[in-house]
Amino acid sequence: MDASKNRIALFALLSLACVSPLVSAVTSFACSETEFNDTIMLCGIATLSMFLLIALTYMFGETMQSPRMLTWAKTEAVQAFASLVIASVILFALFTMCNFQVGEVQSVFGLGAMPKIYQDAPSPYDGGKDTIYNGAMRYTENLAAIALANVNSLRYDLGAYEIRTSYNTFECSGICIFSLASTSVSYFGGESMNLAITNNLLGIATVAYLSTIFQFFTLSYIYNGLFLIFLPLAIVMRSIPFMRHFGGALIAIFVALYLLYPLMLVADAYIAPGLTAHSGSVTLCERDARACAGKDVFSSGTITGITCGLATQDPCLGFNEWEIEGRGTGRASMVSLHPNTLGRAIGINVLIFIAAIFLPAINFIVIAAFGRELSRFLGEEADLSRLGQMV
Amino acid sequence: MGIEKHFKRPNGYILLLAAFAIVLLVSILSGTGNSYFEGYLANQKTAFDNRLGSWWFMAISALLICIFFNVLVYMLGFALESQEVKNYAKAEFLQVSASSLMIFFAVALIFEVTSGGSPVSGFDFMGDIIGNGASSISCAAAQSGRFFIWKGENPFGQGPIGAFKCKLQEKINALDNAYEQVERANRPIEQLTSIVYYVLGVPVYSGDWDLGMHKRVEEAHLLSSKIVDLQVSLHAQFVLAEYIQKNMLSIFLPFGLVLRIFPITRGVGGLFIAIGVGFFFVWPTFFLLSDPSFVSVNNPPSQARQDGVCFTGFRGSAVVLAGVVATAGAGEQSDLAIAQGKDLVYQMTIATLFYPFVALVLTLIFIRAMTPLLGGDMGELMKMVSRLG
Repeated sequence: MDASKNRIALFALLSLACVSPLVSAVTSFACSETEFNDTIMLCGIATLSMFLLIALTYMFGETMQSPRMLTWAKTEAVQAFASLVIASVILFALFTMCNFQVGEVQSVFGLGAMPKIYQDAPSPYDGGKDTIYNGAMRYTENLAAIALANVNSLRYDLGAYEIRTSYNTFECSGICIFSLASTSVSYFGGESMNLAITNNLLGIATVAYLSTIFQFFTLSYIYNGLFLIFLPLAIVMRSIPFMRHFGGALIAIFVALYLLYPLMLVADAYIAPGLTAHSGSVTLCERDARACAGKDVFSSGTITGITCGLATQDPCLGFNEWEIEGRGTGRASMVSLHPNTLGRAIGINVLIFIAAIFLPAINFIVIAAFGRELSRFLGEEADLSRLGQMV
Repeated sequence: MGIEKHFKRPNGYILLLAAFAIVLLVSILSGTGNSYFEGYLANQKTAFDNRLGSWWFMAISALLICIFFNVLVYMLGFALESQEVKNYAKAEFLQVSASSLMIFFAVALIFEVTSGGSPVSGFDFMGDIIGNGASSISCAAAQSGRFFIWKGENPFGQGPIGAFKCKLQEKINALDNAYEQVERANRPIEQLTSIVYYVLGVPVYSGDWDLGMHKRVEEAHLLSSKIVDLQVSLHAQFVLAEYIQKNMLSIFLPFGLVLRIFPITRGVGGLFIAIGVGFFFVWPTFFLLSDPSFVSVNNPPSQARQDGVCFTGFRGSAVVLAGVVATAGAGEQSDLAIAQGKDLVYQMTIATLFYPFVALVLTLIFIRAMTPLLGGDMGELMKMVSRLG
């Protein structure tokens, strides 16, 4: 009897020990999300309801001398305790993520120079003071911006090549009016090779931009919809006996996407400048009057990955592309591809492609593996890669 | 009682202490040579030591948190008299112990560990297979035309990954030149094909009606599109090689070791460790082995040799033949015509896609075998690879 009392006392003590971080997380949460309070309240209500149900069942079990009800109550008590621990850990992780700054990532993980997008962020976030969530969003925004600048630059070149290759002169020299004999020539016909290549590169650039913008909206959804809907739902489900496994899977999805995905994007922000070493400083021609917004995503303290060439300066050829015979000062040549040679043009496109598609693919592998492991740990295996396929 | 029971089995402790002592002594006994291989090894070790040093506190903290959590779980199991929970705590304790051993001996496992007197660490594996002397590979992008694996060269760096990057740059340069030549050769021809003669307003002759010229133009267009496809692939490989060179030992491996500690991140952690080791050691090693221009030289050489003239035996002829592909250096002009461009593109397609693919397959086999041993989850990576395929 004494042993039984001791066990109950120990259980109560452990429950209190787990409730305390939950309470402290509630009071010190610093992400300024007003919806978070509702989640906390819902979490608390679900936990209390569960404990109440267990207590009632236990009392009924004692009253009716039903071992089955008593066993159920004991089993559920363990599960409720587990739910409490899980909720506490999630809230603690959220709290940590909301306070963890991208500049601290550098010192904690011993990474190299800080990416320029964080170093030169607008005040008061300069010098790496963005939270992980802000940092992930800033990286995605910058990547989307440079991907769009690249698309714009290629589109401009494509337009120039289209016009030049379609330019045709009808040469009527001497007595052609009387003889009705003449010649037509496309002086820039040879540039159709560059036209095809620019078209090809534009395809790659568009895919990269689509991927980046997809990530941007996914991140927006994760920050808003997922947090508002999935987390409360998951916590409530995890507290209901017959929906526990489903709740566990939802929690795994939430943790993988809400906690791990932004962290992985910040890691990508640190990795991206290092990828540019082979290409040196590549010049991207400004074609959208936005000074190649987002180019800093490939720059850090010691690396300048992409520089922005103004449209009127070398090597961006100014507006000479349009000076075709009879329309300008001379037959200007547009021999160089964007930004200057084929290798450079492909290099910059591949760089953006790798950052926009390959690195997120690695992120997804990690997230899927982590989510599956976590969901297995929580009781239900969620095949995230298959869910991704469905989406 | 428990302590007494354990002390009745001192052999286990003796063996464990002996293993620790051996691993620690290895670092003292290891030689301090001055060859390029040893210099490369020392550089990598210093970088890894520095990087691990910054991860050290995180790893220790993770270990302590996990042990603390295991103790709590064990207490809970004891309180609830649940043998299942207690077994879980014990199993986790063993896993944490394995992770801590990996962390504490990571440097030794990669750089120093020996078995029966012969070195079996990751770098020794590379040195044994590739040769720890003046091993080299034909590379037109290198200053002397050959890239010496351990000596290295800017901007490619040292080691097998440096060699891989040099080979890529060689192909990039060759294809850049080929594109320029083809484009220059095509421009006047295409202009000619655009000429149309009219009499009485009716076209009587067009340059495009000349089948010979038309064919040349079309060939040039086809070649240029093939060259662009290859260039995209080569540049992507270059960026990925850069990624591997910079991140495998410094991010993936330490991060994997830390992630492996926690039960819920063990799958990812094991996968990271396997990827880190596989792509840093196995992939570049097998890439070099599959390249016919690779010459392996071990230290000490049997006789004094000059750099670059160490072709011995039958393999030297293979090296010379393989070097023919890469005769056009960066910016070098040649009389590459469209017909020659076709040959180049054919050869480059094999060299760009086939050799790295063979190495990639072998690396994935290695990772697939290694990941479950480390408690990792291989499913997602294999799914991704199969989708890419």
